[in-house]
Amino acid sequence: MEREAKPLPMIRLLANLCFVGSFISFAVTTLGLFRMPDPYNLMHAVSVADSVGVGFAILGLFLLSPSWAVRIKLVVILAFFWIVNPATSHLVLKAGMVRGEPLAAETKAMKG
Amino acid sequence: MRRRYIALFLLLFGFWLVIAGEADWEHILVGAVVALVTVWLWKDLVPQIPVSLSARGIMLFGRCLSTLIWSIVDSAISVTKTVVFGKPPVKPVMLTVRPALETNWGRVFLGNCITLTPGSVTIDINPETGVFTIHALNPEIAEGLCSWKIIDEIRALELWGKERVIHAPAAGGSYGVDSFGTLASDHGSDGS
Repeated sequence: MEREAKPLPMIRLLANLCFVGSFISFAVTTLGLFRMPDPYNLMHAVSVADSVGVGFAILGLFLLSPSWAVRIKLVVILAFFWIVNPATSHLVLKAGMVRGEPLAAETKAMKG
Repeated sequence: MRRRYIALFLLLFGFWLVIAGEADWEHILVGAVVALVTVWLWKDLVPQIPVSLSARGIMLFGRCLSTLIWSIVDSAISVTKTVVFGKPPVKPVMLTVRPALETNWGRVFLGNCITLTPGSVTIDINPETGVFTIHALNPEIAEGLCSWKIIDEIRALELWGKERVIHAPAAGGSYGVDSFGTLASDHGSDGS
C-alpha cells in the first residue's frame, strides 16, 4: 500500500496561516453583518468572505493537497466561486433596487 | 465551426473527469453523454467559444488576474478596517461611470472584477451605453474604480481580440467572429 507523503513543516505552517486568514475574513464578514447600515453595504462585508475567505481556504487546501488531481479540482472550485459569487451579489442588489429597497441616508451620487 | 463543438465537448468532458476523479467506463460513459447533451443544449452559444489561445492572450489575461488579486487583497484590508475600527467611515456612494470598453464580454468581465473586489458592487451595466452603476463603500473606493488600471488591461485584451479578427480570414478562420468568439453584432451599438 502506497504511503501518503506528509507535507513539509514550512508548507504546513503556510497552509495554517492561510486558514487563519480565512477565519479572520469570515469573522470580519460576520461582524459586518451587524455593523453595516443597509443591505447594499452588507454586500461589501460579505464580499470579504466571498473573495478573500474562500481564496485563503482554498490556497491552504492547495498547499496540503496530496496530488495534482486534487489541486486542479481546487482551482476549478475557486474559479467557480469567483464567477458565481459576484453574479449572485449583483443579482441580490439589483433585486433590491428593483424592489425599491431604501439606501442608507448618507448615500451620495457620484459621476466618474 | 465544427472545431468549436469538439472543443466544447472536450472541455466539458475533461471538466467531468477532473471533478469525478475516477475514469472507469461508467464515469466515462455518463460524462460523454452529459457532455454531448450539454453541447446540444448550448448549440446557440457554441459560435461564441474560443478555440485557440496565444501566448500574448494568456499573458494579457494573467496581467488582469494579478491586478485583480492584488486589488482584492488591498480592498479587503480597507473594508476590514472599516468594519472593525470604523475607519475610514462608511460613506456609501452610488457611482455612474462609463469605462472605455466596447465589447459586452469586456464589460461583464469588468463588472465581475468590480463585484469580486470588496467595497464595490456592480448593480447594473447598460448594454446600449456601456454605463456602469456601482455601489461603493466610500468615495475613495469609488475614485479608485474610475482610474483602476484593470480597465486598460481589459481594453488591451479587447484590442488583442480585434487584431485576431482582422488576421482570422488570412489564417483560415471564420469571418465575423473574434478570438473570444463574440459575434460582431454582439459588440453593442456604440462599439465596433
